[in-house]
Amino acid sequence: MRSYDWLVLVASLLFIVVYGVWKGRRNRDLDGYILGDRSMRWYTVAFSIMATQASAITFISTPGQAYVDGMRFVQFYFGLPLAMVVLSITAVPLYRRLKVYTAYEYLEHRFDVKVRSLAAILFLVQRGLACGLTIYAPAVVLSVLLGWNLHVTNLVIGALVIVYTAAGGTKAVSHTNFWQMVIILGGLLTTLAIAVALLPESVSFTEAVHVAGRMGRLNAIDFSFDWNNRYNFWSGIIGGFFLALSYFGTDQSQVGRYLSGQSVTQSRLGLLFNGMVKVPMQFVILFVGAMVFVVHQFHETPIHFNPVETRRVEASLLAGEFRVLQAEHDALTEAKRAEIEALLEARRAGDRAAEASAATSIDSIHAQVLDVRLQARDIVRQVNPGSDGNDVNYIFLSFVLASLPVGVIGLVLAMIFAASMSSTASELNALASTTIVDIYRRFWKRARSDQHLVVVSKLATVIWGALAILFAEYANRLGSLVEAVNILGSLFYGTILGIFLLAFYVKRVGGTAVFLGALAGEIAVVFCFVATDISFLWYNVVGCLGTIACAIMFSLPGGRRGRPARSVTS
Amino acid sequence: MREPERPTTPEGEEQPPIGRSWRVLYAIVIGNLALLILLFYAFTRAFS
Repeated sequence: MRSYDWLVLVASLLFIVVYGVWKGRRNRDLDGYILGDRSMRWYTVAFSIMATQASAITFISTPGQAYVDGMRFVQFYFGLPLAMVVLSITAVPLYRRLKVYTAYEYLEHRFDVKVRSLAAILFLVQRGLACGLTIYAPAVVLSVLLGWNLHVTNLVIGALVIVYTAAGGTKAVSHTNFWQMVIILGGLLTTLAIAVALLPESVSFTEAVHVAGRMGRLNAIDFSFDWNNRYNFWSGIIGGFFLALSYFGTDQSQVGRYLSGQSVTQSRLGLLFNGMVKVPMQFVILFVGAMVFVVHQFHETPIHFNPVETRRVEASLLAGEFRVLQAEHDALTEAKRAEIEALLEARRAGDRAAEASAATSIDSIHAQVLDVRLQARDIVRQVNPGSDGNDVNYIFLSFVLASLPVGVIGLVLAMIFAASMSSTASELNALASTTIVDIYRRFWKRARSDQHLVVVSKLATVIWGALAILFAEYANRLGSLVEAVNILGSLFYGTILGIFLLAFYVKRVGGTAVFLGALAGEIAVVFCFVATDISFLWYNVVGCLGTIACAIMFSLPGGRRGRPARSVTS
Repeated sequence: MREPERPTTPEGEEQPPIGRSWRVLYAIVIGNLALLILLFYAFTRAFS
């Protein structure tokens, strides 16, 4: 990194922290601290929702995902717009009418305190762990690629977020999220433009897209149904719908964002805007990965993208074997490049037969390249049994550091930091809100003043931040980080969603039945995770339907538990 | 600055700033998704 990169990075980070503290300087009561005085316009709500969901993991791991697996991951987001519509119709007016601080508060209005507490605790466990991953993900990649100390990087990201989130609460979070999203979009589009500019002069943009497609990187849609296929249309639209409904409807880190809207209209517009632009945005991020893949077809690339693991192997007894593999990889890459040029030449000449022949050769050579990369990965694992050998998280930033000009590297790193800080800030804000409103104020200090509650909310933000940094220190061996976070979420979201759907739509069911149904649903999800190979997106469906079915069963005559519904359903 | 009061629908809901009703806005979001899926499908087919 050059001094211009440092300048861009440090200026961006300082701007975010100072702006956040300044925006949140006038919090005098709990309404201001947790709900931002319900003063946000729709575009602040929308960008805040988007910045909260788009963590650094999204930008580090997702392009790498497209690089190794193609663009099919985009299908994961197909259920999201439908969930935005459902939530705009149901959750937004309901939460606003009841004037709740958290989503879980509503559950006590509807059922009883134990259902509220169970949902709040499931959220605190799940989000508390995920918050650590949100800090760890960029820290580990930046520390490996730039030689920064991992512990210091964890600490710097965590501490910066804690400062403005604790000081300014929701106002600080929502307003900084807006500018973080601006930095993120700027960095993303700049990277895409430069990736395209890095293609050889003889290769046009359209030809590059054809190469990516020919090599299986543009597989955005797959309508075939397979329970074990992680990303296809059906798992995306059904499983993704349940996941998005749960995440945006019941996860306080998102509910808190749209509860801060000025009115039902502003909150709804924020959600619907997210529903319109999220899928195209993910498409662009994946497309960046596909373009990086094409650029790498015309340049020499390392056989393994994690430089720390590579250096470790080169210093081991297996260094010779690794060098042989690297030489084989280079030779195959060269041969593949020649075939790609032959394919493009045939395309320009309109020679279909030659084009098909070159495509077959490319497939064959690429299969050998993948095999060589897998062998290299095995060596990495042999040398360091603590590593899973997965280098998907290092691909995109390796490209950034090796290929992008001075200043732009700083912008991309600012983008990664902004993404990490925006998600972490919303998570800490939500963890503190839930801890104070659903646990502390509910069980211990019901009659304390607003001023006292604001002080303990700030303290809770600092404590959750410290715990997140601590967990980040222990998070490793998680494979693709973007998947790890989504799997962790899917273990809990289905059950929480089941509870909320019962609250919204099933009138004749009581609190105890819901509580027991939720426990049964969670056991079913844990069973699927431990004992089956079912794709994790389906955990959301299993948890949700399991909770609903069991709660209804427990409510049937002879099995009725708990009091009937109160009149707060929409 | 708080936004001014908006006109309401017969059901007592605020009207959206664009479109005649919220239903129209919801239809636009779902239609946008359907269009994207179609475009992605065409994109996958065209370049595979």
